[in-house]
Amino acid sequence: MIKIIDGISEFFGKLSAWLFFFIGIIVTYEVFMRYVFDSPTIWVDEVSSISQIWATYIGIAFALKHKDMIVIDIAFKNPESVMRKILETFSLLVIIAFSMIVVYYGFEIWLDSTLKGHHTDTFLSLPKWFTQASIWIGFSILFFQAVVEIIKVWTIGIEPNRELEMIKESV
Amino acid sequence: MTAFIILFILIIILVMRVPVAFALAGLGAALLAYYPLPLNAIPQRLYGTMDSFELLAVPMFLLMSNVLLKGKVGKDLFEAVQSWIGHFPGGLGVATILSCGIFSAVSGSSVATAATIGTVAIPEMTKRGYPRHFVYGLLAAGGTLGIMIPPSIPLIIYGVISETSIPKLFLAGIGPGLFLIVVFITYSVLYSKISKNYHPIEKASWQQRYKASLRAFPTILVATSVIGSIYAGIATPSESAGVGFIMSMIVTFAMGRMNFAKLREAVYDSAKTTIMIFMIIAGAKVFSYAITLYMIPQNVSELLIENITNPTIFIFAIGLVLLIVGFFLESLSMLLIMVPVLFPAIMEKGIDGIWFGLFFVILIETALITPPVGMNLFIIQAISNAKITEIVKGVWPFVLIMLGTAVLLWFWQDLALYIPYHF
Repeated sequence: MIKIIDGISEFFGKLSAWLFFFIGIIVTYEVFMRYVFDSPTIWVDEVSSISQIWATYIGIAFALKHKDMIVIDIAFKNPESVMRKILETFSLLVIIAFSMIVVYYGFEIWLDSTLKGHHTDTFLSLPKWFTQASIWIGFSILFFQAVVEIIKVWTIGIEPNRELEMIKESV
Repeated sequence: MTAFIILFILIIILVMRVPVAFALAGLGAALLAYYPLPLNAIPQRLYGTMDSFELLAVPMFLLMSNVLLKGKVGKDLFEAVQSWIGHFPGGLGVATILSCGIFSAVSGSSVATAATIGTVAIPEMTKRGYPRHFVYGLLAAGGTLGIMIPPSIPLIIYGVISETSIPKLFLAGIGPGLFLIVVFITYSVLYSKISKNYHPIEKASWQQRYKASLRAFPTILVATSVIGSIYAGIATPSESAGVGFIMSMIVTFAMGRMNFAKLREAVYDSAKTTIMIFMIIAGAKVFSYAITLYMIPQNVSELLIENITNPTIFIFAIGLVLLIVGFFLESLSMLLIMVPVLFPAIMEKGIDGIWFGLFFVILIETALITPPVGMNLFIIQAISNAKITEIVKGVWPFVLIMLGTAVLLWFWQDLALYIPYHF
């Protein structure tokens, strides 16, 4: 079960990363078309904004899994202590509670737009069900990942925050 | 009173290690539920926050600087600058600061700048006998130029939340950025005159200079085209960042410095950092929506305006608050928590929004190098395996320089505002 959820977060996280990459390409394409061929596109702004929403929300679980969340690291630094494990569980419960709120209300809004067939009031006039789905789908994945992380805290233990490690590796 | 209670709860949950994004979002949600207000405002805020073409500049600049980081351009830059000026007294220190300055023009992040230049400059400078604490301080402080010299991720975010012009903010960063470079350089030259232990490096031959400059040229080309295209009106900051990313990919591949594995790492790392930043922004949006309902920014603004009539004392009080907050908060959290609270008061006082953005960024720079929470201190520690106390020892003169610059900026506002309002 843990492996499946880890795998799902990993998959969507990587998808999110390549979506940002894709945005880079289409934005460059737009600038190129506008200045070299004098024919600006009508879709790049909107497609890139929507891709950005999707990329952000489907990627949060991935960021949580890799401990890429900024934490104020001034107290309870010892990862072995029971207090730290309790606090870690509390943090994850906050994430779970927040995800539940977002999924519940996000789904409600999405369902309403889907049933009424709402469209965005933009040039491409995309169906809102498509754009709004990113919120509840992203936070559903986050919810499951947070549950898995609680299990990991009490079985495997706490992994260090990855941010500094990431920098060390990249230089 | 409500403001203090909310702030107190926020501090408690942050100290309890709840990730900043969810501390803000969770507290915001709790405040909305307590008000009581329908919670469907939350997914709407989350959606609205990311539906922004301006914010796209953040992942694009991160992709660009990560690609350049993996392509090891830091070494090229440092070697090129060093070949020209390394032999002067304090030349390596000057080369370090200039390399940080140039890298800042392709990267909007101080962490990336400190890491990129630090890895090359720290071993080189310590090998030449420069005192370690001085080297660490120089790199930690030099790295902060990353967010002052355009492009700058904090300025993009400041522009988005305060609805001020991002290109103007970028232009306003040039003056204080160059000023800080000059002061850092002066300090390092004076320091090396006093310090007896270092050995200057040999003067490079013209051929060495030519070779080193040629290698650094593509990076400088990327930097100038990105910034140039914004100001020439060819592209928006987001677009030019996207183009910069593609250009840096082409450049690093052409130089044989990039392969698919490295690119994949750069893409994944940028996505993680982007999501981390965006989640804090989204959380802060929920939080600031909630505190606005509780009239917190309005009350803080009234309190400040009624009690402090003198604008100089007013700005110093705000500076002091930001300095203290900066000891504990990491830069983005500082920006996202404090700007919504303070901005109404700033506007009310008739202070220029662009000017305040730059003032804020100088204090963020200071926050980045002040313990106990200072990202650049941790970065230097991570790449040099030094003791944090030694880094702090080297950093305090730079803290004074930055605070001095913040004070100067108030009395000489044209240092920031001349360029955006006259060009």
